[in-house]
Amino acid sequence: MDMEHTPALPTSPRARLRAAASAGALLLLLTGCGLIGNTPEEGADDTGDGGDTANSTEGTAAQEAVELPVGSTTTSTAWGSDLEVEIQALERVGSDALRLTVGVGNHTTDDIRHFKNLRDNDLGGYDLSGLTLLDVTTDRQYLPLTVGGDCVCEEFPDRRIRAGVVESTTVLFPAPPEGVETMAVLTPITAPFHGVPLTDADEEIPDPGADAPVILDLTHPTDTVVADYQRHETDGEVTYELAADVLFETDSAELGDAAAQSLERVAAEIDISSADRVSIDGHTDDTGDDSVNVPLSRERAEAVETALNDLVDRSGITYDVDGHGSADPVTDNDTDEGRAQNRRVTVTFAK
Amino acid sequence: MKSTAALLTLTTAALLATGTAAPADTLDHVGSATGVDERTAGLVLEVNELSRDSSGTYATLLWSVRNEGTERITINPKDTSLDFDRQSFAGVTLRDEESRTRFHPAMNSESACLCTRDTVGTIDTRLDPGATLTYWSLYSVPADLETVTVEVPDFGDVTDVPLT
Repeated sequence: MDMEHTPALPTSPRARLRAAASAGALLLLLTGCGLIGNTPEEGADDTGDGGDTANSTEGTAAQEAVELPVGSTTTSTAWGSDLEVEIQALERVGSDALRLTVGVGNHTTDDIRHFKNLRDNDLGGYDLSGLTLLDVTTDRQYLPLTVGGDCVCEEFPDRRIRAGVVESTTVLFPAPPEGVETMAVLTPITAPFHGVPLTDADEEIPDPGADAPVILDLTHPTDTVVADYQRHETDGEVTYELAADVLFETDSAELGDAAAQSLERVAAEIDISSADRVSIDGHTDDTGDDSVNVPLSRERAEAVETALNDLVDRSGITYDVDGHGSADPVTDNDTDEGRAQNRRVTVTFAK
Repeated sequence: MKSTAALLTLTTAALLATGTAAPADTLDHVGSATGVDERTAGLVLEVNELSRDSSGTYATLLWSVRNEGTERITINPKDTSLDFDRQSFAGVTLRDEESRTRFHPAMNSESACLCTRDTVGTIDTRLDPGATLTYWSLYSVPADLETVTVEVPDFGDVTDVPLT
């Protein structure tokens, strides 16, 4: 794999020379002390906790390799697509390590000084410390190798990206298991690059003496969405069960934007009803204890009362408001779905 | 995917252009919604793409926000239901209408979201009038899921987004 990446045409002969020199210097650094040593196995020290919601990756197809180099479409920065992140190489370099080479292209006409947009605060600075790799075969995220807590990565030359130039630098990662052929590259400012092929470097690097690798398990949390509300009618009495998750944010008694639709529906029916009393009752699930749940459910019922009072046009209506905590579930609290259903505010009135 | 030659061509073109005209980068979008909160009024959300990687393991969401208002606005689509650590973009979720399931972005064992990272000095979250910013997040969804609703806090739902 050709390590040298020719930078895009710089603006002046002097700059062109500088670019050539730094490319040459990069090559020297890589080959200069090329000891092909037999390094002890670091071992992939798994510091992650497995999550119960982790998706199994069995049965998925192998990831297709993309052709390198591959560039970003745009970035989440004010420069947008004027800044380009280019994945140039992902190589096994011995010592159980991978070397990722990334170029950053500045399509503007001003140098970008103090380029920190790809950094991780804890691991580095004007470098690629914020990049991570994903192994789709094991659903794990690889953080850069560190020595004494600092990433094994080179700063961008002069900490800047010169106008009209692609500046390249490298970062080391722990190597994935043998047989892994592609990985995804994640950066702080671009969409992920999927299917980046692993290749073997022409040379091996000496053991950097890295700290234990940090390879994190991923979880993929899901939850159940309940219907905004359910309406029941018995013996001339109407009950709306409004899902608390739709009305309120977690642990809050402040109505959110999603509440309006349900509340307007209830208010509209109260308006056409014969009722002069409306009961509003707040309920929670059984997590936490009464000292929190009872007041919270009451405050939520009160919030609904205030809203309905505003929305209902008909006058002369009295509201009875109460909070019951978890005392009155409509279904069991053993499942996420059940608990979501129990978290509700009910509004009852004569038809 | 850009070849080196294409990059050179682009760069040369940028050098030849007079002034500092930033290319108006308009990605396609498959759906849009407007801000529903006083903080986000004047903002337009566009879902650019929801695509699986070739192994089918992950789905990547690309979405953009455009400021069609007259004031600078900062967005903060943070998650409020789970324990993501410091990740103000973790609130962007996918909803499967059929199974009534909400998919949160992937979380690693340090509780960080696999989505745009809001580390100071990396990304931008402030939108000047007329500006557009594009963000991403990563999910794992069932292989047979075909369409979802994209939920971004403080914006209307974007429905019928296909998984490609």
